[in-house]
Amino acid sequence: MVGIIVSFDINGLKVEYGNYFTLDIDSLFIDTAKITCIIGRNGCGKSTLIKAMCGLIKYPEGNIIYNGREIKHMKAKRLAREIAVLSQKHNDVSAFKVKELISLGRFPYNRFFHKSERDDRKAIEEAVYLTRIENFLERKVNSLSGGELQRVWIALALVQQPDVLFLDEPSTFMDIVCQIELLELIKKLNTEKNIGIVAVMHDLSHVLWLSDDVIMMSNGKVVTSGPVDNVMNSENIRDVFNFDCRIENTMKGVFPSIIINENQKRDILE
Amino acid sequence: MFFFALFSGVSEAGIKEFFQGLFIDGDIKTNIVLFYIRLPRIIIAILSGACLASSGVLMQAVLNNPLADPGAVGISSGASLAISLVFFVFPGAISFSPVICFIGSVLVSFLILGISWNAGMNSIHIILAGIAVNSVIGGINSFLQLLFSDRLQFALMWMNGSLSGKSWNTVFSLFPYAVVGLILSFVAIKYANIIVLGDETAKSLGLNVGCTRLLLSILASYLAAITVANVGIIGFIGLVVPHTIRILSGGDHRKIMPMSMLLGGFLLLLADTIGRSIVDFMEIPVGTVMTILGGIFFIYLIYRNGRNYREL
Repeated sequence: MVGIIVSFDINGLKVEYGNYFTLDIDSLFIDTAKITCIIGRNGCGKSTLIKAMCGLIKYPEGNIIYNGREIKHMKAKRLAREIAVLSQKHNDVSAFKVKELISLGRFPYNRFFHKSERDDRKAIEEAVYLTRIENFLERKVNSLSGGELQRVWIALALVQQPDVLFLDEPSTFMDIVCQIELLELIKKLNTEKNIGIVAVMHDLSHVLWLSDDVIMMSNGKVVTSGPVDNVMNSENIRDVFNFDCRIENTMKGVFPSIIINENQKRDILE
Repeated sequence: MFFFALFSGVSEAGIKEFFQGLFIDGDIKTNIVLFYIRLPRIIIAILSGACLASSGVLMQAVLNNPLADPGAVGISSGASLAISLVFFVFPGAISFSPVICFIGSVLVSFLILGISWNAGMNSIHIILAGIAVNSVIGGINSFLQLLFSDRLQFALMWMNGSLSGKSWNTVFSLFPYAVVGLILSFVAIKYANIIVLGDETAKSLGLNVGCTRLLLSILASYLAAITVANVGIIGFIGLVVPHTIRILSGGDHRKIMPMSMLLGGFLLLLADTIGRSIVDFMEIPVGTVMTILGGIFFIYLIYRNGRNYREL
């Protein structure tokens, strides 16, 4: 599909949660060939936005157009073949074996009379290979560490063979090595497998390192969005996070760093 | 391989029980006893056990709660109320009691599911609505029993679930419904597997969570209701069996469902055999045996598998 940009096009989107929170997005364009990170303070509507984009919550007002089709009018199973989500919260599935759990990702492809075992096996093998979970396929989920478990959930999403993968704070609860491995994996999925990535992230250094585009949100609204170099500067960060810092990128190939400025340090301590 | 081993283990023990029931502990070893009293009774025990167990599997999956059983959607209370009404208020309708019993339990479970449907078909809502409706119906039931305590004896036989005096007629009235229910349970396996992943993950896999939860609950109530209608209330089997199987086989319903059906059938047959052979002068209703035995077995499981149990 040369020349066609695969994208989300959001217009006039409004989602209300009781009286106290409204997600209100006039217009937003997300190029799903790239890696897009959504940042903002807790409770600013990042998760709500991606849930609406994945069809997980209803939105009475506005449009979310994915590839020319309105999300809320798409059949759930069809959507699940194109979009996968890694949620923040999962049920306790500790009694499952890893192998059994990830095979459930084939559910959207499962029809009564039309079922391809070969496609299923291929999708599972590839997901296992990409996330490098070969060694614990036979283990029960409750024997895994947090980092391993997160890789299993990503494998489950990849078994869906999505075009776009949504990640809601994927690196929470992970140690630094697992976090870097995860970021490498996300990059690899995007560059080698052409899977579009939309991720909600908290660590701004990770955002700097990972993303092509960044969306900054505050109080249910998009403050600014665009290529990472344009969006991620100390002025914008101060506006959204009310936080004084500077960005330093001293060595090539290493994380750019967010350095907290002296006066901000004093503010936090006081 | 493990699955195969357990499969044959359970059914072999089932066959052993069967022959024991057939040949060993009978006092009148005539063909009539064997084929008109014992055999239908054994078939009913196996079928009911399998239905109750798979109903329990579905309920636990749908409610995301290992403590759920068919009673959670009001099967037992609905059936009890129906029986009380028939025996106390409309004694003329006693011959229709299976049908009335079925209607009672289905109506109550629909009431509970209807209340929770309005609240978004969330598993917590089903559990809460179940507790509330069950307590109201339990109250009405106690009131009826107090009012008509002279006729309580006959009703109690039903409420404790008994297989005594069941003939081929009961087999024929249970068999087709049970087969349909059990086949549908196999269809339900893949949905049960997705729904236990949690609402959000299930939705992102393309499952209509509310609708699926409703349909699976209806199937679970149907399975329990057909057994209640034919043999009365047999508690605990829907709770103990899926639990035991989950400890043995893990979380995948592709294993849990068939293994639970086998164990359920076996366990109910065992309980019935014990019930009619342990005391000479009377038969203990299978429901009573099941509650006592199941409880003891369950205590043992919790004790032995303390760690596993916590992790489930």
